[in-house]
Amino acid sequence: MKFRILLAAAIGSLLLGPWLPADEKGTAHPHRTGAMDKSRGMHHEMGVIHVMNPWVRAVPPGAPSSAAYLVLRNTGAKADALLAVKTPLAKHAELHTMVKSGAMMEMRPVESVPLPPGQYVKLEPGGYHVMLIELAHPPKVGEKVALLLRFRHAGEVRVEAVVTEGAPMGGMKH
Amino acid sequence: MKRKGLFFPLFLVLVILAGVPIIYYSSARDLPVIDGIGGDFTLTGPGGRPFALSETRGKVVMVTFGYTHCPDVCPATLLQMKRLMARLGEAGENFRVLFVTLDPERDTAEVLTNYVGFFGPWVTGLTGSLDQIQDVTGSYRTFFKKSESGSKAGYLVAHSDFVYLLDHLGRTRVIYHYNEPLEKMVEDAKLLLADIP
Repeated sequence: MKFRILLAAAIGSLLLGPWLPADEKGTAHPHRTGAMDKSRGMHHEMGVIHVMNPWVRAVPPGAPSSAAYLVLRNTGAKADALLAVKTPLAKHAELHTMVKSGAMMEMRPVESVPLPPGQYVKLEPGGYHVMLIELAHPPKVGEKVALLLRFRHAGEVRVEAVVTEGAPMGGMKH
Repeated sequence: MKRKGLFFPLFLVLVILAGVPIIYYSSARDLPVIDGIGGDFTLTGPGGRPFALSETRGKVVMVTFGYTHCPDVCPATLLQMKRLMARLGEAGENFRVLFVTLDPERDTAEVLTNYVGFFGPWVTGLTGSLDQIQDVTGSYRTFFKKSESGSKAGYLVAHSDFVYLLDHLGRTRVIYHYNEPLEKMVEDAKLLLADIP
């Protein structure tokens, strides 16, 4: 009897496993699909990769760097990856992730941001983000910033980000 | 006999359940002094003049650590402080924020003044020699490490995201992560502000 219960539990968890929301930054939360698609922010449906709520952080004049954040959704059946970002706002734009190293958080440049098929990937404060280096001018709240995103398979996608103080209200706030 | 047997455990459960909100409220209202983490220090403040923490006696202070080349955590922390200040309203008159740089090489007093000024006049940027900064981070048990990450931004500084709330006597009362819910920070700050004689 006990064995049967254990067996049922094991099979049940194997079947349920893929459907449970993943916790690490940058992975999908399937149960939030509805909320994200109804986002009040900017939602660019360009081909297979959807880009949602792109925003750039307003920083003090003289600050050498800022960051761009957005949510990506790979609606295709094939894995893709964000490889690079270009913007007139900054001389260089690099993809970074945040890694916990003991009691410290460390930003590390990454080659790409993987986009598994059918999943949402968030570039958000404390996680993956686009570091904007050597700013052409201090980004002002309300300003629109062009971002050219290059994906491994989907090619280039141009979106317009808005400069805000912090995460926009319509976006994903934890 | 059966009824009595059920009553006591049920009674116990009710007492425990009733105690839960009481325990929560008393720990929120009771912000014990955190001994051994924090303490007075003197660094270089605006205009290159020495700035001693003791100058903030009589005010409630939030001590933060970061650097101006940091695009994510540091501006987010100071933005949180700005929001906290907005929530404090009039009581914010006696609230100050200190931003201690972990990158004294690039963050001079002038750079810091321009940087923190963006968030509000109640933030003071502090720098110093690397030794002085290390002394302070040591006392506050926070960590930082320069890292040549290969980024075009030059070196980056890995650091802890602890933020320290000090009472009007300069004693550490709460240590937060930078992204602690604003409500908790507001509540705690208000308690300490109400305590100022």
